[in-house]
Amino acid sequence: MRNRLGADPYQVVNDLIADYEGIQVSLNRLFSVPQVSMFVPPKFYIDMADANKGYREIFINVSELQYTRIPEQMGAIQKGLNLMVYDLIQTLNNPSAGAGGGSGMQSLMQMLGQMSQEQMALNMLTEQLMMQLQQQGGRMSAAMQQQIQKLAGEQDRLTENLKRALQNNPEAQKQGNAIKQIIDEAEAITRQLKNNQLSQDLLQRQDRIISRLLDATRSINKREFSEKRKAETGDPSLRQKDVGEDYDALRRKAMLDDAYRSFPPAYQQVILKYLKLLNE
Amino acid sequence: MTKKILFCALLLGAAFLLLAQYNERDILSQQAFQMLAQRQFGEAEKLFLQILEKFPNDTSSVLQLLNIYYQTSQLDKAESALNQYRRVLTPAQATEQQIQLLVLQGKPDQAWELSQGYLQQQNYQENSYRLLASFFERRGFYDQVLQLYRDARVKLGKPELFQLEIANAALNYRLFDQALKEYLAWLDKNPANLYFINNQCRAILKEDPTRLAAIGDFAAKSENPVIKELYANLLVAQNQYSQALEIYKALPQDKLVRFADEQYRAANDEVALPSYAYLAETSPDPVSKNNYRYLQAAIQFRDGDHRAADLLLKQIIADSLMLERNNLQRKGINLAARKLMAENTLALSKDMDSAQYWYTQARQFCTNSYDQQDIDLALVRLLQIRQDYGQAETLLASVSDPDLAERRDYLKFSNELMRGNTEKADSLMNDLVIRYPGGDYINDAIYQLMFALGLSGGDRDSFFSAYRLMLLQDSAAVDSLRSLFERNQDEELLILATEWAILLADKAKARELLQHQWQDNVCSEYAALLSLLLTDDTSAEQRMARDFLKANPNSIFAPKFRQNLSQVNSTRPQF
Repeated sequence: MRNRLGADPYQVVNDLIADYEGIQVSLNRLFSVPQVSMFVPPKFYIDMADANKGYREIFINVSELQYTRIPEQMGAIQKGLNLMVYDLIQTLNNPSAGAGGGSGMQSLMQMLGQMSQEQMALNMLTEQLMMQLQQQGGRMSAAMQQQIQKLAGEQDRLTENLKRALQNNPEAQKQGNAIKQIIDEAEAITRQLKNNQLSQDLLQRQDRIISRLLDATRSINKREFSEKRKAETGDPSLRQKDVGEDYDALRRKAMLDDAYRSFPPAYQQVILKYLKLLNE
Repeated sequence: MTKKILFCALLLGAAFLLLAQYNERDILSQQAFQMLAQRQFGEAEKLFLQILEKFPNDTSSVLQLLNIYYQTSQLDKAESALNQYRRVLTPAQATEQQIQLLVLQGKPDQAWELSQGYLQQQNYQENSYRLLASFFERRGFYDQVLQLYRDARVKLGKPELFQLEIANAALNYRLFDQALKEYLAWLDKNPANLYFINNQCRAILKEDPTRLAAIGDFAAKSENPVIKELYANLLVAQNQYSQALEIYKALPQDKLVRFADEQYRAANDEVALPSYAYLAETSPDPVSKNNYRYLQAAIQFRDGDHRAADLLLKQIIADSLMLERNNLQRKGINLAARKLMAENTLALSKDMDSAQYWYTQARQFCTNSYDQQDIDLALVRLLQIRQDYGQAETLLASVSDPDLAERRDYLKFSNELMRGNTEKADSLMNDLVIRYPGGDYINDAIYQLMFALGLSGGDRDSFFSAYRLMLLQDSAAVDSLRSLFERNQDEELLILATEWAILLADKAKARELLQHQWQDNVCSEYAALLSLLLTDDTSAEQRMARDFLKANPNSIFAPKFRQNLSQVNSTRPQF
């Protein structure tokens, strides 16, 4: 269609509208199967948003009689669509690399990694609310209560994901005790948040979850390492380096995370500062 | 001194409090606008209400809240919010909201009455008319919309005011005569907007083709070339190609050239071809003449008339004026004609040696490494047809021009895929996506790899054998693919065979393949779409579209069928 686009955008605009609507129908159909969202990687959503943005910008530009950026926007659409297809093929080839479902050691590691990022963001928001509470002399506003309930919902979602992994993932079952401890801790936090209880104890519990998630990841990593090396002795310095890099990797990943992006800019700043502190 | 410190401290304290308050409102507002942007109206409503609870004088939140209620048709809530927060708004804002609410409540007479008072208060400003008209337009009260614009013209003494607005409203109200009159008058003064007006007029003609005569009358009386150009474009839309061309012949030549180029790009070959033929006939400059001949040849090649293309290309190559020193490289015609000759020879006679000869001939007219390497890439295709993948790989490795990198890398991928190195091809496909995510070849690469991975050994060989025939532009490629389908019953292969037949301009064969009784739903729906696109008869096309939509209203291809039945005002979707 890009080749057909000359100076007159109306040569292609009706086709673009039909394509856009067709894509929306396809996406609705794809996501009408609830399990799909467990397998589709986050990258797919980013590419989907880019493609949709390209379409919308063209429609707005055409309705405002502004045509100069249309070729560039058509390029963005093509890129978005190409990548969406590619993301789906990658998912088909390797379903366990998706958003948190699947089975096996690799998928569990990825899930725990992602949960660590999300838990970190929750911890930072809780800390921010705690500071705000102290500034207000312990008086909790309605807006704050609403934020806390939102946090409780997020914490609950993380707990549910862990429970599901424990049920479905044999590798998670091998880590049964450690994961059960995380679940217990997370459930206690959810209860406290639901009761609008912000305290130092809550923050400590949240920190413990991060440590336990990282411990679980390291433990799986170690097992995978020893399985690969069989009887060979591991290089302790290498493992030490991995441990040191955990936080750094988390920091970088957190910035790409959808949950991070959905927070207001002021909170994003707090998250980044927190991650910086952790890294130091 | 102590007083000063105390004053500073108080000032700082006040500033801090204000800042803290600002931050909270700012954060909540940002969240609310994020929700609005995601069309999560319920969440946005809650947040704006929360802001108003803490900052009851926040005008922006009141207006946003009302807007949410209007958008979600919660008019009772809107009414009560307007009553509650009216004091926060200026009198003008409050009246505007009241008028908007009355319109949405279906009370145009009351809204109209209030509007008259409002206009008086606003001293009959142009923008106030526009704003009120937009309110009435929201519920389709076009009588009031048009009356407002007419009143504005009289009141402000500007008879040409709101031409475009009136035209658009009249079009939506299906007052086609009025819409056309205003559009034409507006275009007369704003010639740069030809494409937009062309589109609007086409929408009118789709509803009522008899209005073309009125446009013709206007164009005949007008001295303005853009009006004549509009009329010619509308004749094309009504398939009256020769009349359109006659009009263009009377216009300055650059307009005809632009018109021909646009028709060529849009694949309207029935009109592009005679336009270029006329230009070739009338151009005194040999290079321009041969350029138009070349463009005709390119159209004939695209339409599968290789003999006609051959004749035209031979005329260019035989023209001795083209070999004069100052014409050798002008506009790249000598080079392009020989490259197309190579392609056309291949399609016509399947003779690879002849094709290679023409590429060698073309090399004589290359002026830079891009041109040379472009020919190298064309030769890679010949090597792939000969299954000389090793030589193709060597040639590909020599291509270094950055502007050819994407095509080179795609050919590297297809070379490995055809020689059976699926894993390497897979890796090259990944590289292709990473390096050129918006590239033109990604879709083809993914599609080919999926086929290769889905087919077993013998079938895979047959697939690539068919693909090589396709590279040779041989219609046997289609038959070969059909045979493969008959063996393994994968309907996607039959879809691909149909697409190849279309690419080879063999519509009859494509239609024949589409007669298959499709089992797979998506294939079946896509096959219906291809059938629709191959239909020449407009009434049959409309019938097919209606039948399909009746049976498959929720198909992913339904919007394409709806497009065929689309009515006026379809230039922007609802999202």
